[in-house]
Amino acid sequence: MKHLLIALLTSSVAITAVAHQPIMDMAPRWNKGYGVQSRVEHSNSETTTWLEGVYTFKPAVRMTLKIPYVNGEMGNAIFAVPLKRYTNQGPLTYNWSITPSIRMPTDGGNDWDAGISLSYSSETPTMYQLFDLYTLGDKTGLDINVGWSYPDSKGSSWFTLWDISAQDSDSGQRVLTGPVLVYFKRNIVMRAEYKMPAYDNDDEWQGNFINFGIGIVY
Amino acid sequence: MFIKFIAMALLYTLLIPFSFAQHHHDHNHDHEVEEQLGGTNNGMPKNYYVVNVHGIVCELCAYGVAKNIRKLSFINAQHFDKGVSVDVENQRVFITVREDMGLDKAALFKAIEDGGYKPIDVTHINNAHTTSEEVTIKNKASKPIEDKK
Repeated sequence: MKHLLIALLTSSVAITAVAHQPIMDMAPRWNKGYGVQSRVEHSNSETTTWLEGVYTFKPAVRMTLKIPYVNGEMGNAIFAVPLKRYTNQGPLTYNWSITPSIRMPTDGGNDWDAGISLSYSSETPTMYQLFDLYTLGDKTGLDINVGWSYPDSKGSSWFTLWDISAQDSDSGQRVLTGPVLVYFKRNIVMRAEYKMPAYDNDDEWQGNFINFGIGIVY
Repeated sequence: MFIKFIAMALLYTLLIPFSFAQHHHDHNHDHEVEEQLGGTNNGMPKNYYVVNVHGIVCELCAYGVAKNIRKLSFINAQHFDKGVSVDVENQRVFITVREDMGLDKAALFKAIEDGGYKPIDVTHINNAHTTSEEVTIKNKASKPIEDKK
């Protein structure tokens, strides 16, 4: 019974991913672009599969939908509308974003949650960084991705990033950190990450975090 | 301690891109154009355009811009990658144009802007003769591009 209770509690922890970055931050950036992605997260002895979609009306306006499946059962979907302000300066592009979101009770429950995030990201031919401050439901967090990129001028790029994710919720606080590897090949994106707790005072969290995703944009 | 670490990380990373922006463009233009195209005597087009585009710094960025440009009716798909090649290291887009249509600069710039980036100028490179001719048109200039063959 105790294990069942822990499993139920931790399943809600697993669906705390940031709502607005289905295929990293930069794609699809073009008018009428769209993309889909599937990710598998493993944390707290749970495996969550995310199905994610994004549509870009124009570079400044997107909408995203993320649907989690925990042990084969649908969790609560997150709908978000990232609004971005881009600036391009020579070999630098950066944007500020504000992203309202809602988490819908698609698991059969009745609870709706509202959220918002503020983020900044920038990129040059050699580096990438993202800072995202968000709140959704009882959770407030800061997600940082910083690292290097290696475009090959033949349609593919590698990114080696370091991720720091800090989160505060009703169950406590935690900071996870670890490496991220991202690979682009034309319009296909893959992302793998491994994070371990640097600080853990969260009653619902245990162990490390592993994520692997693959997506495509058009 | 943690707050101090976060503050240092924020400061460090916010400063990085500006330092890159300062020293990135010390390049020899002509030499790099030839490198990008593999040399004008290597089966590459003798007649093409180079567009300087601010912010186009990753291959996925390039994918969206190239996709938009390829939809333009005047693009000659027989050269480069279906008419378009993107140099993300130097933020340049190379295009070839159908001889029977000519370049529509306004449409080209709109396609790039719709891709999320900022076109600055376009240069016509004509190596059909012994010497190369270049005509650069700035973004804010209103005069039309003339095809000087």
